[in-house]
Amino acid sequence: MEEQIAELAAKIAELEASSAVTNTMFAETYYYLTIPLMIIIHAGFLAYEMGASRLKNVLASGVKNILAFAFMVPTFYFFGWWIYWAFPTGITLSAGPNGISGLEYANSIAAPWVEYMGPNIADNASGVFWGAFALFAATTASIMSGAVIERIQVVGFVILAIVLGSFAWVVAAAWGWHADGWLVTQWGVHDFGAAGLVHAVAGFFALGVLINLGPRIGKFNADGSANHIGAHNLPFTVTGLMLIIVGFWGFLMACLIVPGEAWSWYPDKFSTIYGTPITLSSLSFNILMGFAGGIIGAWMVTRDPFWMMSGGLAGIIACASGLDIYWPPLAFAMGFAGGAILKPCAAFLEKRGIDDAVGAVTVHGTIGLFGLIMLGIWGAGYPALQGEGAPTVSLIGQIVGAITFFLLGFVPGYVVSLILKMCGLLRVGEEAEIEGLDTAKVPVAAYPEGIGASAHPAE
Amino acid sequence: MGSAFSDWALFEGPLYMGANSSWEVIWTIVAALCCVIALVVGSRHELDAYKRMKEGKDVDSGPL
Repeated sequence: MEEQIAELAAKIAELEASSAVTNTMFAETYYYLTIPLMIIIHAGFLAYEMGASRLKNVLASGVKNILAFAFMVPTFYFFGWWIYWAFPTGITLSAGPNGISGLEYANSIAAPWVEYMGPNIADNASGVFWGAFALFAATTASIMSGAVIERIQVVGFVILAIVLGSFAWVVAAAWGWHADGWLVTQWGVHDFGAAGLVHAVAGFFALGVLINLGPRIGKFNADGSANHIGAHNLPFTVTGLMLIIVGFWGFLMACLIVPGEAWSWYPDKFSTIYGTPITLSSLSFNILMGFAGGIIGAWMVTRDPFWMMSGGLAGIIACASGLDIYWPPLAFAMGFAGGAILKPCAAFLEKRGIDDAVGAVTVHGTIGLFGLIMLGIWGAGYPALQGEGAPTVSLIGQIVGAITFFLLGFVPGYVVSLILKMCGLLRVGEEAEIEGLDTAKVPVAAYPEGIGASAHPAE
Repeated sequence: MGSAFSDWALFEGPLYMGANSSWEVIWTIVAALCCVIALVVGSRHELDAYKRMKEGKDVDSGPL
């Protein structure tokens, strides 16, 4: 009898070990696959920006966009990942209540020369988490990239992209996403899908840059009225927007915490980054409903395919903060509202002399804050974190988060672009802008056999 | 760099070249310098291109 029990116990131990290995492999594969999905976001941004550019600037816009992605990866490795783990409690670099933050912790797991930051068969998590976060970072840079096309210097832009992607949004994530983040633990900020800490930070960073960069030549007339500078290839731009939507499934998938690992919140169910329960089904319901609502809302107001697809993106962003808890028809209504207010908000900026070439400030900044704040109304009272005595979601908390994210985006964007402007590294030369940036900087032609040139006052 | 182990089956922990040595810092610095050098070279080419366009000269956009 004892021998049979021992045999049974050994069999159970073997099965448990096998199950643990399977779970670890699943978790690693899950996050690994979010990375190529998020790279589709960048394929989308690339098509979107190049299509939105005039014929003379097509490849220069592409070069700029590709470089933002490329520089984000090493800089996020050098210091971005470290910032995320070091700063959750504020600027004191002290450890938070969960003991997974602060200077000592960041130095032990995220400094670029520790053993977790390279191939390590005892660590199946660090690389895929870092990769997913690096792609979040690259997304912020691509958001800013579209707004500034056709007149920003490449190197000045890359410096701004590094400040945004490897610093500004990372601080926002440390404060408003990390379980030790002070916005979460003290104010109950809930921003599951990063409407505020990714989209709003990037959107308002772009606004700060646009103020110093100025409009494209020919955008505004002497009386202040605006000219429409059309995309040279609108179908390419619209397709790019759809690719961004595809990639967003990976982005939002990476916002979940897989169960069953030492670093998981639960042994048996998915959670948000805050440790609150969620399912992939929740995402399926609400992403699709928000997306559809955004398209329909934008179509109702504009009937323009560019704004319709931007509306789809805005629809997802409008309900991103609460994708884990929204009732799908509410997500649809939020998306619808986001899509409907999109173009009027963009027109408001344009009337104030801001030349946002693709509406990035509005789609990501304004709608991001809209979604973040509205969750404070619809989701008030929900626990913002896992655990006894957790703070609850509230309108005041969401507004505090919104103000913080606005400042974390706008202030660095404005200050760094002002410094670059003073150093002569922000805006391209006037002659190059008129002649075309492809002629000035790119050794190949976009359409060597030629296509019909666009006609515009600035050409 | 290199490593003294001879059997992958017994291996545990970090397996990258130069693990737990000063090479980790050295390669980090080299990689960072590559980024800085690329930005400096890129900026010089870019500013030169604008200057040449302003002066009405041909622009050498690169090796065609």
